[in-house]
Amino acid sequence: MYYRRTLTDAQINKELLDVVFRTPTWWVILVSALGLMVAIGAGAFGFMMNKGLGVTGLHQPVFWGFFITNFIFWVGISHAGVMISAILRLSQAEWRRPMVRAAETMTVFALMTSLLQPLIHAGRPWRIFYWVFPYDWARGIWPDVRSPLVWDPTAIITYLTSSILFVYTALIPDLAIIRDRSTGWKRTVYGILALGWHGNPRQWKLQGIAGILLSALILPVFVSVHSIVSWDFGVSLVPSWHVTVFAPYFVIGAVHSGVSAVVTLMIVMRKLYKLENYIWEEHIDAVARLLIVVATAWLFFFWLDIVFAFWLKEEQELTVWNLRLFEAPWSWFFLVFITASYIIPVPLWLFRRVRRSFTWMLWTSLLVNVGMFLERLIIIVPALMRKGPWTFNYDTYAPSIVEITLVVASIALVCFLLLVFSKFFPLIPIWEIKEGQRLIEEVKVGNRVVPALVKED
Amino acid sequence: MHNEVPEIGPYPTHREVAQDVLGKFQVISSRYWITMAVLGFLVLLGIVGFVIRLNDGFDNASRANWGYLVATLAFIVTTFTAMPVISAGLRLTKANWRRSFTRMNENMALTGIVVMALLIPAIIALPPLEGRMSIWFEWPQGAPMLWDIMGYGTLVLIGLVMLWTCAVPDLAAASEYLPASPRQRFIKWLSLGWIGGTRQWKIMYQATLLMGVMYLLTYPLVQTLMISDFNHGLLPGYKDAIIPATVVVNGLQGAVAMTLVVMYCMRRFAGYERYFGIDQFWALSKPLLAFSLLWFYFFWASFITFWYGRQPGESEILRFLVLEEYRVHFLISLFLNFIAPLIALVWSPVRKSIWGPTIVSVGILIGAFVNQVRLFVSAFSVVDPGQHVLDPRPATQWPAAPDVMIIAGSLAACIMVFMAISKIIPVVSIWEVAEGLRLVKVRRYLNRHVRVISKSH
Amino acid sequence: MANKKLLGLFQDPEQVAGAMTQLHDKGFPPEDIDIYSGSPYPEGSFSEHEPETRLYMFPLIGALVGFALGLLWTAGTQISYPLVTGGKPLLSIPPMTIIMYENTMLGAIIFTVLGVLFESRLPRKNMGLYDTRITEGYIGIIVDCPIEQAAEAESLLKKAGAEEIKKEEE
Repeated sequence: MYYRRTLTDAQINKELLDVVFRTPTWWVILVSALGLMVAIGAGAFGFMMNKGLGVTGLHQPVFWGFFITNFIFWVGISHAGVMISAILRLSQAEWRRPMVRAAETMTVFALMTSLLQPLIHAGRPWRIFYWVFPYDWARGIWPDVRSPLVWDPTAIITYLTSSILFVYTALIPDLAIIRDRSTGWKRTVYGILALGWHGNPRQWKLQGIAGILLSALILPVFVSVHSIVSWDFGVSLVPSWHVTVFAPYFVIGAVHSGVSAVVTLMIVMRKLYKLENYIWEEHIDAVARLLIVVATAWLFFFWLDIVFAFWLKEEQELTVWNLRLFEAPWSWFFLVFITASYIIPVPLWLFRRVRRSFTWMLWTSLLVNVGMFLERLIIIVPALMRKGPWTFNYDTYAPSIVEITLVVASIALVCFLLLVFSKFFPLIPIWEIKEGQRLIEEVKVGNRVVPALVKED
Repeated sequence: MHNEVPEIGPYPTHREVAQDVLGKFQVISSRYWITMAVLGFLVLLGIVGFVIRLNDGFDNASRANWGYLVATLAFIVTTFTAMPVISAGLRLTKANWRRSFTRMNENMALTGIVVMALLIPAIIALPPLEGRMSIWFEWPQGAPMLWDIMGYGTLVLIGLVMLWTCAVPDLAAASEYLPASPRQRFIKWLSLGWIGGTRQWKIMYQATLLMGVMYLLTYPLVQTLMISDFNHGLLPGYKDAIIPATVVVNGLQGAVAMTLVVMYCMRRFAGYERYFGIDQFWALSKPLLAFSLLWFYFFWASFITFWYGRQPGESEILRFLVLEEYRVHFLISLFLNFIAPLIALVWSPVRKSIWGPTIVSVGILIGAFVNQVRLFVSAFSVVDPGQHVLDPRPATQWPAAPDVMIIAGSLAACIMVFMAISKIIPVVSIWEVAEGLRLVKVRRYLNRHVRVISKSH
Repeated sequence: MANKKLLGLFQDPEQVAGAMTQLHDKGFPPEDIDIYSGSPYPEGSFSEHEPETRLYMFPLIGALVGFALGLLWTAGTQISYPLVTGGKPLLSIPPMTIIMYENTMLGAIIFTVLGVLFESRLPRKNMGLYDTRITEGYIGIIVDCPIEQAAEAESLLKKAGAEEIKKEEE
């Protein structure tokens, strides 16, 4: 599977540290363009702070709209890091190597972006400190720990801290490589960050244990984060939200969208950073097969959600589903969502030629995320539009240009942060690639040579 | 330690594996017959218990009498009949350590006969669909009898076809090894004239994978039918979209636990120590821990939604199934299916042993049975499933003598069926183990030895 | 007794393995020999000294600390201002469980990372005897031996194929 030409350590260092040591023009152009979009987003946010939440499409009864959809979306994307990194590390899948750091970094930035969304959405974000952080002297009362809105930041901050520590711990050996290649103040800074790493057996052994142990610890956190976010909806009594399946449904949906985002990221990285030696067809083939399983499991949970929505035949629940399935424009959104999330991509991924084509995988993975964004929108907004039992409370929702700008700016922000990160740190873990290369072997069976891997235990 | 030469498999050559396995396969000892006689007696006892229950009929008043039969049926579906899922799943991931026990798991597909036998009275005991909630929404003709039999029957059929397909090469080997006898002639007939040509192997591989995928996809469907028809539809005011997924995951936990226990028994009583070694126990202990964590996660997703929402219907269900009448059952299950496995399997020395995962698995199986009692005996004790809310809640139903006889007889029937088929189809897959020998080599790596493992196509 | 450190630089891992074997045969204690490499090799590849670590203590302690802090702030805040919300009891165990679980995991993870750094003997202020070519694929053998044995160690490393021998400054 990994039978390719062997690269020397020096060659790997040079190719994977290319952007760190020189600044290509495309990088400057992209960062500038994305930075501009982020600045426009910041401007839109400032405008909203000045004029108030009235500039958005939010109004009674729909007070959760695009911002909360975006919040769930980015928390979902952040699940890719742990899925790719932790689960594949624990199962010792060799094909994880080029993807782990990019996925983990995307997790960190996606989480940071997701944390911005409820802040933006709050209208007066400085007041959020009152209900989230445990202090009581200014307002005379502690945050209410019984509320899922307090569980949320606890979980997300735990996940964010864990992910940052996970990225940093695995980055230390690569920081040592950059330290050794640098001079002057850069050498000093990377030297401090590398903490004096030498690469002796003790340090490498602990690096290996850290990878396994942190993966095992972060995995339950990853499951809990999106479950807790889902309970913002699930524990409420809004019709079609008060459903027990939301926790695993959201988690598996997050994995689906997150892993698809990793595929998009890997293909774009391969093109921009010229990583043909490191990101192969075998890698996207393996991820696509994983996606088939994840997407099918997601479909099972989705089917459970729909079937059991009709179980008790409650009128309010049926009203919400009627809106989602049969009333325009939500019926169109629903159709686009299910087509984009499953009906088009998964049957395509059953074909080996599609799985091994970078073009096909790029477009199908992007399609999945379009569908998954719509899925979150369809879960949130129609339920609020038909929340109450009285029809005079029914209303519509449409996002304003401010909301659309901020959502687009959030995508630009994550891409911007990833590009800036890549200027200072390698997006592909250099030491893991070197280790992986060392573990490639071959076994002769009759007249055929079959690729194999060295197993240490 | 690292200078020790690791083993590549139970025996170094295909011939040695074949002779060892077929040697054990050929012998039917007196201990075997005594065990079968004891099991046969228990099966007869089970039939007597069934006849006693049959005497009271299937009306509303006597529905509670069938609760333990249904709980036993559910236990068998979530343990014995789920074992081929493990086999199919691991074959898809091409894990090398699965080779020893895949046949053992597939042999358990024959317990589908017991499932079908128990299914008929279970369905007859169900109240009519009119006036109560069900997954059939009172519509399809023949629901639930026809569709349940089709669903379960499909699973059993796929399991049998998968078993037969995978076993053909070993049946051919066994038919040549055994002396002429009715048994040998039957096995030869089952081997379909297999020669082992390239085309035959290719088609057999594809058929095996296809059957495996179909079994994997059908199993959640059967679990959904099981829990919807025999638990969810009988409890008024109960809307729990996650419960099918919960029982699927519980089933996977039960299947892994049963695999470990059966492997231990094969080591201890049948002399297969070289096939079921530390590699297999260690590798399975990790998914066992994962499924134990998921056991709690899926329960918690239901619980927190009901606890927080405080809806009258849901609160009554929570009191009935968790907090009051079936609290003891729940606590036993919580301890054996979650707390004990977590505490034990978190420690590496426990995971990396034979006794550790085995003891934990025995606990899990007991907990799983108690959990089925909690879910199904409780549901069958409800007199009027058409109420809006479960009020009054029926008292806890403890097992009577006929129930104990049915339980003992059903489980004995499963073991009997497994022991019988293991003298028709060798319990270790010779061709798979031999394939593994070819794909694993031991090489010197600098100053130590390592295993070099390739994956099959 | 004064000690001296030597760093032998090799390009070929087989030479390193050979050198290590010879050093052991000549009686140099394994604890006094270290290997520097730019990427990990399977444990025991160079017959190096197998380091003992006590990492498992750290996540346990961290989990306990996190659990205690979580219990403190969830129970403490509810008791300090006893306000019934949503019909939930004053000390509501399920929500407390969620927050305590997150705090437990956070404690475990933070302490694990601290443990990894501590057991790795990081941060390390001085690089000491080191060569930047190690991250370019070279492998270094560090021998920490009495001054009287330094010449023998140096000769052994040269014979084994070391490209360069660096010595620690006096």
